[in-house]
Amino acid sequence: MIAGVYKPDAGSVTLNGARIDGRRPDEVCRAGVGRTFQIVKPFAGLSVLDNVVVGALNAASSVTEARRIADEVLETLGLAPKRMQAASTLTLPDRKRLEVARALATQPTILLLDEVMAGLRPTEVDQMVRVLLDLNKQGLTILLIEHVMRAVMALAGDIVVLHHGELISRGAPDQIAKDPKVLECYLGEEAL
Amino acid sequence: MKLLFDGVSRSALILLALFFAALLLAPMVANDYVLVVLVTILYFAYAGQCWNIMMGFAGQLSLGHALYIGLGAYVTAALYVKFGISPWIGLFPALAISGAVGAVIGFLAFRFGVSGVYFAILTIAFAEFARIGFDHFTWVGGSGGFFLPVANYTQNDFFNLRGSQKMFYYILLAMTVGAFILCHLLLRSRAGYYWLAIRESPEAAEALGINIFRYKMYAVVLSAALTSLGGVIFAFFYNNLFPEQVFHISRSIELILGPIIGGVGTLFGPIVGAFLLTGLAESLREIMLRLGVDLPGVKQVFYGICLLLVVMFLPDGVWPPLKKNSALIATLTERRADHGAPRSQRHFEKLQRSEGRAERHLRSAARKDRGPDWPERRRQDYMLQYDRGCL
Repeated sequence: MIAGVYKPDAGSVTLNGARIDGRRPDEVCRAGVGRTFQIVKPFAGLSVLDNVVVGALNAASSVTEARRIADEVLETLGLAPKRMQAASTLTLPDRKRLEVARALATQPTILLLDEVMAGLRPTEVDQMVRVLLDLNKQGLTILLIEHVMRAVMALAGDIVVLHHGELISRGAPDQIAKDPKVLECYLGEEAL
Repeated sequence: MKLLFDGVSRSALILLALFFAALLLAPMVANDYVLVVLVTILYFAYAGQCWNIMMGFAGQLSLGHALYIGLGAYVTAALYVKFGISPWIGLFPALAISGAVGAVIGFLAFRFGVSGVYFAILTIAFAEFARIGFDHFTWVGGSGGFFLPVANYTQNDFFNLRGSQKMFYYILLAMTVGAFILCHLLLRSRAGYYWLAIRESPEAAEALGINIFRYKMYAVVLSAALTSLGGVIFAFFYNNLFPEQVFHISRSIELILGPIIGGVGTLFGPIVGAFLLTGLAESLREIMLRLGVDLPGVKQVFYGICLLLVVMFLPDGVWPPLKKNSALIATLTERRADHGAPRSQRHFEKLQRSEGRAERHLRSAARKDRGPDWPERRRQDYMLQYDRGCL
């Protein structure tokens, strides 16, 4: 809904004070919201570099500039050695990284990440966490949807826990980890 | 200029230049018949290239491109015959009308989310509308046909596009080269990147800030307008236009066979496809003629067989494997990379292959060196087998 795929029935979405609800996905992206897809959607026939160049063209004024931005982003995410491969030859973790790279290349002010850690090995999760922490320090806001606790606990400053679409808890990581409601729905009543 | 040659290897350029030179010199040696075949080949190469912008780049399947050929042909021919306006001026209204019709079709389809097969059906429908419409459009002859005055011209009247086959050959050659260079530049532009993104995944493209409606429209309008230029040549080369022929769906299909057989979405596909298909079909006709066999429709059957073979054995078209296997040409689309990374898809596959070989070598070495614990491992393997009764 934030990304503009669904129109809200009620309420509003604002970015830096401007309303973005009801706008088309491409307009939302140009307003500064980068997103990834939970089910990855790489441009399979294009090379990894070209995938990211498409994203970079959102903010870049020329293809040359977009290529430069894409190279930087690929370097940050550790995809640089695979830049000439077709995206269809990538493994799932690399495709997830490519999703992040593409969204990042649009130079967003807020990045929506949908389960980018799912399916990654713990070391890969840590690597991704490090990248995201760096970006966060540089001033990028990240909205993370995630159930890999290792990543959530390491990254988040403010956690919202939803259960069947209802808000059950909200707060800092250490508070959430102790909240009985959260523990109940994650571990079951018996565990308490 | 920099954009044009950037990343294109020297060997590929030399090869292209040689090919172009051969085409330039061909009319010196070719007889009238061969020249007509060459004109047909170039016509299909050009039209295929235009269709490829829409289907190969932006991923929008049009099965009604005869519509734009026909519009270009009828508009310029009518302006020439009725008002004596030179086709070089008449082509501007032709471009505008075709572009506008393309825009209407595109708008109807993309605004209401018509895509894939349904979009293709829409394009057929519009071509059929035009066919039936022109059948009853008596100002340009209706179903009886529309004819351009034919006379034996002693010299080429370039301004009015009246003259020898050689003249048409060179005009078409220039158009084909122009379309090729345009497509090459387009692929390296913002629009090119956006089209490929839309072709691969519209949702992802939209999420990356691409206005997919606008860019699909660009592709359709550009493709339609450029295709109508092919129609201009068609009208002035053949000198007669029948709605039943010009707008017929078989024309649309004929036009897209070249790029499909050559390779959809590639720069060389339409050209290779046109040479293969028309070249082979005409040779076949010649052979049949020499043998004294007269089979109507043999060309269509031949097209069908070609299409079947390509779909079965080379689903990406003839060009991609050609490119892959020829070291010279493969460098054409290769872009520079550093620090030992694969230079291209092909190089990447090669690296993978060599890795496989090294692994096999290690495994076979391991088989030979069994180690001191070999008997014990054998015993355990033996024990674990169910039918030995050990479990």
